[in-house]
Amino acid sequence: MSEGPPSSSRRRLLRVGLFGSALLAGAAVIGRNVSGYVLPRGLPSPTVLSVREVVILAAVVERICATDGPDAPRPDGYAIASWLDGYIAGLDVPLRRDLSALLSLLEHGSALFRLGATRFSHMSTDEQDRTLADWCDSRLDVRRQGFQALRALAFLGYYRDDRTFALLGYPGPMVARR
Amino acid sequence: MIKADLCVIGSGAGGGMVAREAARAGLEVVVLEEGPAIPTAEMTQREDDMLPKLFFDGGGRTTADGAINVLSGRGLGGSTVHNTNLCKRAPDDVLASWNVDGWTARDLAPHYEVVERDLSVTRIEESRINRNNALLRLGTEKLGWRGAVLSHNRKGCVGSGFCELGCSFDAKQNAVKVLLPDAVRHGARIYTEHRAEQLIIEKGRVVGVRATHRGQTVEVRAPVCLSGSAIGSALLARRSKLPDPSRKMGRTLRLHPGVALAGVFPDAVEAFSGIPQSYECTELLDTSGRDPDRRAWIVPVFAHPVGLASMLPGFGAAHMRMMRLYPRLAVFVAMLHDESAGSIEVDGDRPRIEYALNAADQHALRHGMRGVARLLFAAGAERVVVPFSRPLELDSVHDVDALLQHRYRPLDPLLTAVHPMGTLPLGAVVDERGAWRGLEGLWVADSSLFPTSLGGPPQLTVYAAAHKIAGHLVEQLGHA
Repeated sequence: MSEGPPSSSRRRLLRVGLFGSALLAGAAVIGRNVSGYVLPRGLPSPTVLSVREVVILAAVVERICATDGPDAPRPDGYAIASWLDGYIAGLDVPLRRDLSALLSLLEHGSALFRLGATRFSHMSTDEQDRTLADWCDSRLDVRRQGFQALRALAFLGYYRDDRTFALLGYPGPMVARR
Repeated sequence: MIKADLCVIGSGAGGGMVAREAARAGLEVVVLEEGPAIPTAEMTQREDDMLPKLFFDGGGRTTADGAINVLSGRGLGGSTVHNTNLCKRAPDDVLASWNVDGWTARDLAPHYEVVERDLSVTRIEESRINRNNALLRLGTEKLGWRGAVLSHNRKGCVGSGFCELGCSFDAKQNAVKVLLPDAVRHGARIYTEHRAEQLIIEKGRVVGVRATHRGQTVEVRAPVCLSGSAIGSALLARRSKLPDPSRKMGRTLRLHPGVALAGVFPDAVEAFSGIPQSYECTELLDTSGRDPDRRAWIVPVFAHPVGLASMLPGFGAAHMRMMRLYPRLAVFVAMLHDESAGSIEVDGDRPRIEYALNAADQHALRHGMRGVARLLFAAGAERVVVPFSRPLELDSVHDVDALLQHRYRPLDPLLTAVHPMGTLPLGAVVDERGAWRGLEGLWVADSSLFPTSLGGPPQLTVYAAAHKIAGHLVEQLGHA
C-alpha cells in the first residue's frame, strides 16, 4: 500500500501547477490592461466580478448551455452571469481570484496558443465552441480544469431556472408542490 | 473565554456521538461547529439554495489538480445532513487489515449495535426500492453477481428523493436529529459559526482551542476532541503544528473516488424520485485487496438537474440532448476502494487537497467502469454514456472492453468523492484509544481515524468509532 502520492505524480503536478500559474498570472495582467467591455442597459452592477468578467462569463454561459431546439429556454448569458456574481460573492477570496484569472486566460489565452486569435468574447459562436472543445480535451491539465470549473458554474446558473424543468420532465422540489 | 471539561470540534457523526456520550457521562461539553445551523424549514430542495449552505466552496471543492470534486459537508450535523443515509458495517477483512488492538469486527460489534438501535437503522423495504436501484438489482441478478439491499437510518421518510440537499421532512435519524439534542439535554453547549483556528498547547498538553466567530476571537479552555472531518481535522492539526512521530499526519488521505456512468433506458426511470441509494453491487469489490481488478463498490447515484448536468460529459447542444433524456436515465457509480494516498496541506486558511490516482487505482477504475457498463446493459440500457473529456457513448455490451484501454488523466473521466478519510490514522497518529500520540488532552473521532479506505459507506463506522472513543475519553477525563 502506498503511503503518499508517487513521486512522479508529485513532479507532474508541480510542473503543471507552475505552468498553469504562469499562464493564469500572464492572462490576469493582460486582462487588467484591456478595456472596451460594456454591460447591457438595465443589468445591475456586479458585486465581485468586474464588468469585463461578466461579459466573458456571459459568453461562456451562452455556449456551454447552448440549446438544441427552439423549445428549450434560451440561456440569457448576462442574466445568468449576473446571478452567478452573487453566488461567487459567497466563495472564499482565493477561489474568486482563481476564477478571475481563469476568465482572463480564456478571454486572451487563445492568442497564446493560436496566432491571430481574437478575444473569446469577440469570437463567432463556432470559434467559441471550438475553443471550449479545445479546453475540454486539452493536453494541459490547467485548461481541462478551467473548462470544468466554468462548465459547473454555467450549468448551475442555467439548470437552477425552473423554466428548464419542463424540458427535462423534472417536477422540481416537492416542498414547493405541497 | 469559555471553560469546559471537553471541547468537541465538529458536529457530524463523530462529533455528535462524542458530545452526546460525554455529556451523558456528566462532562461539561462544548461543541464548536464552523458552519451554521440550518432548520428543517429552510431545506428548500433547491440546488442553487442548498449547495452553498450545505457544502464547502458551494459544492465546488476539488483536489488541487481539479481532478476530483470532493463534496464535504459543513453546518450543524456535518455530512449527516446531506448524506443518503446508507448504514453498513465495515467489512471484516478491512478491519482486520488495520491490525489495531481493539478494532476487529468483534470489538466494534457492540458499538455498531448501539448506533443501529439509536439511529433506527433498518433494511429498506422492498416496496421502497425505486427504479434506479431496481435496475442495478436487475443487472446484478442477470449477471449472477453479488448484491444486496442496504439499510438506512431514516424514519418517516416520504421518498421525496432530495436527501443530498438535506431532508425537508426531518426523516433522517442523524447527528442533528438524534445525538445533538440529547447532548444539549445533558448540558452540552453548541456554538455554530465558530471556526477552530488553532489548538492551544501548554507543556505537552492540549488545553484548549482558539476559534473565530464573525471576526472575533473566542478561546475555549478544555481538552479537545477533533471531529471536523478527515479534511478539517487534519487541517487544524497541521495548522497547529502538532507533534507527529509517525510522520503520517494529514498524509494518508483516501477518498473513494467514483466515476458515474449513465444508461439510457427505453422507458421512464425517474431516478430523481424515491430513496436514492437502496441497493449495492459488491461483485467487483474484493476488500481483501488480493484481486487488483475488483476494488469497486457499485451503487446507484442520481442528482437533481444541476448535479446531473455536471455528471454528464460535454457541453452545448449535444449535452442538452442528453439532459432531455433525464427521466430515462439510470446512473450507477463505481467507487474505488482506493490505495492511493493523498494529503491535506495548509494553504493560508484553506486546505489544499493533494491526491493523485496511482497506477493500481487507475487500473481498478477502468475495471469499475467496465463493470458499471455491463450492469447497465444487463439491466436493459440502450446505450451507456461515459464521462470522458471526449464524451463516449457505448451502443452495445460488446463495446465495454474498450473502457479497459482508456488512459487515465485528471478530469478524464470526471470523478467525484464523498468519503474523505484516513488523514489521522489509528495506530499511527493516534493510539487505539483515539488519543493523540505524543500529546495529552487530544483525541480524534471522525473518519480521519481509518488507516485504510473502507470500501463502503463510512457513516455507521464513524458513529461506532466515535462511540468507542467516547468511552475511552470519558474514562480518562472522568478520572482527571
